[in-house]
Amino acid sequence: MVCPTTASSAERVSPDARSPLALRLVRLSKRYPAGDLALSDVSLSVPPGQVLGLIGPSGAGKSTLIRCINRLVEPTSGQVFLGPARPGSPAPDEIELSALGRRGLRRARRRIGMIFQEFALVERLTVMENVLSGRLGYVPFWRSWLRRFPPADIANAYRLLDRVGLAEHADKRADALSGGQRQRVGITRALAQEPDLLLVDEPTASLDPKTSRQIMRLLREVCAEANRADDTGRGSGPGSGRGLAAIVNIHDVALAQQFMMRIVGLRAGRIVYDGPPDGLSPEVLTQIYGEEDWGSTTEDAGHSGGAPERHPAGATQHHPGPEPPTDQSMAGAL
Amino acid sequence: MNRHEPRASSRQAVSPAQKAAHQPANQQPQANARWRRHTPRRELIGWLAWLLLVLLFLVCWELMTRDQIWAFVWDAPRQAGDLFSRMVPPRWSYLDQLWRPLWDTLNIATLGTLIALVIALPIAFLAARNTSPSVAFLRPLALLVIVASRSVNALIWALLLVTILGPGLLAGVIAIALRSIGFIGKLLYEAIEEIDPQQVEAVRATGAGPVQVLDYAIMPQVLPAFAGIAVFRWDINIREATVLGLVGAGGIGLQLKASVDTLAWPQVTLIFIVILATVLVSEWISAEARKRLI
Amino acid sequence: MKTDRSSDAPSSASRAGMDVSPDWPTCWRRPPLISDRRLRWLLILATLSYGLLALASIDVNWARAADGWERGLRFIGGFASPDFSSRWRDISTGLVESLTMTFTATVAGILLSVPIGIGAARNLAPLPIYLGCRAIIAISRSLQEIIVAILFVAMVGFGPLAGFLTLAFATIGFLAKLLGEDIEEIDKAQADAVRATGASWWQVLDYGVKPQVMPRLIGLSLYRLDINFRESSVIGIVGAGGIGATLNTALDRYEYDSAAAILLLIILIVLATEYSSSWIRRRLQ
Repeated sequence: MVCPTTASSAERVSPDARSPLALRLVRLSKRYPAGDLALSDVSLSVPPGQVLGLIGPSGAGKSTLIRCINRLVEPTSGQVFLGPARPGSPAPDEIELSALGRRGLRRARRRIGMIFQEFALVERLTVMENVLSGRLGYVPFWRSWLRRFPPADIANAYRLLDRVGLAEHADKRADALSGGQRQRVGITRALAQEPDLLLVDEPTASLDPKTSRQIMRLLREVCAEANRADDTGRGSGPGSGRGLAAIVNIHDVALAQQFMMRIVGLRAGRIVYDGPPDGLSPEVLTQIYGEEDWGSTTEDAGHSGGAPERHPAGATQHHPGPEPPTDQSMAGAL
Repeated sequence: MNRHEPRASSRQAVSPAQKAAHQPANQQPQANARWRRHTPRRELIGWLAWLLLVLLFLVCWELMTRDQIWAFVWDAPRQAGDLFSRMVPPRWSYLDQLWRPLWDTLNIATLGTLIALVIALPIAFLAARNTSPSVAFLRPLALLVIVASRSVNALIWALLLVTILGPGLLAGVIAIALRSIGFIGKLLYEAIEEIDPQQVEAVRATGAGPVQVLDYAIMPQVLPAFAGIAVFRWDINIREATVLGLVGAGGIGLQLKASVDTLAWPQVTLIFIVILATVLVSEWISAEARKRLI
Repeated sequence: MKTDRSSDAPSSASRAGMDVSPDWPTCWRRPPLISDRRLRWLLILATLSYGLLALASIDVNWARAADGWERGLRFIGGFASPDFSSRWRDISTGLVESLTMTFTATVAGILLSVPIGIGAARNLAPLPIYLGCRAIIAISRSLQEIIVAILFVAMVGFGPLAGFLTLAFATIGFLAKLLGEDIEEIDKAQADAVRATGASWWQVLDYGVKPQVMPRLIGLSLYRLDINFRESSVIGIVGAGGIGATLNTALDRYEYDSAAAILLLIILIVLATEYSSSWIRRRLQ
């Protein structure tokens, strides 16, 4: 279903064809039954170890993109390739996620950790059960039913919990934890899968600014640690590491700029920016977020303000005098 | 936030005041001195709906009381006084003969609830849109079972079963179970449909199989609801079981019927008191249990 | 903040991968629901022995049950060929009685429930009124509809008026209780905000409480309409009018095909009211 030009364009994204990619999206599109096109022709390559930030206005298709990768949302067309399981092994190991059957998909999902905005912990299970649920794809049904996981899994769960500072909370119920703690459990669950790729959906949207930064730092650290486990190069710069790659949906531009290695800007289902964090100029941000959503700011930035007239008179009243906090945080990032 | 929810269609028989304030789309930005909650048209429809409701009530009342002998109604206070004077004082000595029927009543309710739980659990999973293996075929079937069970009162089930199985506790237990399947099944499948889909998504994203998703993401979320519904229904069943004896299905209702039939009103009073006490105790137990579960 | 451990935790020490240092526990059990071991076993034992005793208390007359087998089959056969026609006059009067008393009793019940429900909310009503309203609710809830119907039949005679009174009374116990609990659970801040403007008790009720409980009250009222119809089909057994009396007669005469027809009608009507009420409730939300 993919024409040859597509394949070559995907290769152009990653010039070094010999180094296997952690993830490759080829002309991915998603149209919801309601008719709206959430993604159109998204092609993207993520090398191992890269922590990629996905920014864009709400409704731009960020969540859809992430969910199309592990097919919690079925893409309408296009292909998704997950890189080889062991970093450094030859490229033929790459599997096409979008072509897998139900069993194969479950197998592949084990290698993709997912972290959610609202943490998505099973609230009434203990922290330990939540972490161990990351192993569900690996253990036979009876083990998971009786909660008798293999000793190595349990020891690893304790180690990971200790790593994120929650070892003593293992027997607590997940809903007894604070937001930051819950997100740590969410990260731990994803890490318990021993993933090759992390899909992170707005990890900080439900957290306060301080906790948000801690969570982002933790994410960067665990990705980097996974890199060190496989790679001897210590000071691995952005994109050069191997191992745990991550795609992070994030709405806070300042946070994205500080913690991400690469930024992809999405608007109306299309990639409109792909580059380093410091390339996010005001023009680029306008391009990503559009004039409508940034009413007064875009006018300040010297853009022709044709947008407000397209709105009913009432709409501009939503943005009165003082700038909303997101504007300020973005201004700080500029 | 509730204020914006009742976005009622104006066609319904609802008070216009219930509808949250929405600015009409054509509202002018300049100052408007005459603020009305609804457009005049909508207000009119609201009033018409009220009028219709009142008319319907009057028609129904007329139909219902067509054959009513009003002399009986005017006589009612005297009848009530007469009844009351015969009912007090209760015959306390009769209490000795009530312990066994009371125990039977409790058993009917408990066993009936247990049977219903076992049957209702799979039915609820079949009926819930997000867990049903076949939305096209099995789901309507499960819903039909639930509706059929719910629409028929336990007393009617008992009436049927007594003609089939003969009088006794077994008819009562089965009647209670048959009625409870629908109740538990309905509440449970609604609880299943209301679970947080993200938690399910998260467990599914780890590569878990469908049964593991059920075990790790769905059951933990519905288990409290399940237990709460079970205790709630048990409490209702105690109440229902007290009257099943009226049609011969065992329990304290048998004594009630015998006493009413022989016009032994002091005994009836005592039975009422015993039923009231049982129901209050079971309600207290159920409320306490549900409080702990949350 | 106690939870900020990860930022201080050494980030270089641990390695990802399956090589696990031996000092981490390799065994984990979910903490049991009841932590006290002896209490746990005591409860299990008590439950088991109750179950056995309860089962033992049901003595089944198997001979009688076997007799009934044939009747049971005939009844199921009745569902296959329900007879609507031969008793249609009785059935239609019964249905009209059931439907009219359901509707009137629900309306009357709602009108009575609203003041009692407000009185049963501790955050709105003073203690004496609260206790009074709660007492009414408790009596209404703990008396079975059938028992109430027996009393009302004794007072106003046979017929749907007794049924109307019964259902209206039963509606209070249901609706007023849930309404009272709803009011007690409202978002206090909204009511306080209205009170802070200097609003009177009635105005607080109108602006601070009503918007919060109204959608649910409508939903519950429609739900109660369903329940009342279902109840109206049984209170006929003790003479309070409605389809139940017709059904009882049919069963007494072993006319299973007519009984099946009545049951099917009840189920259909319940289905119809349920669908329409859930449709209305959806529209309201």
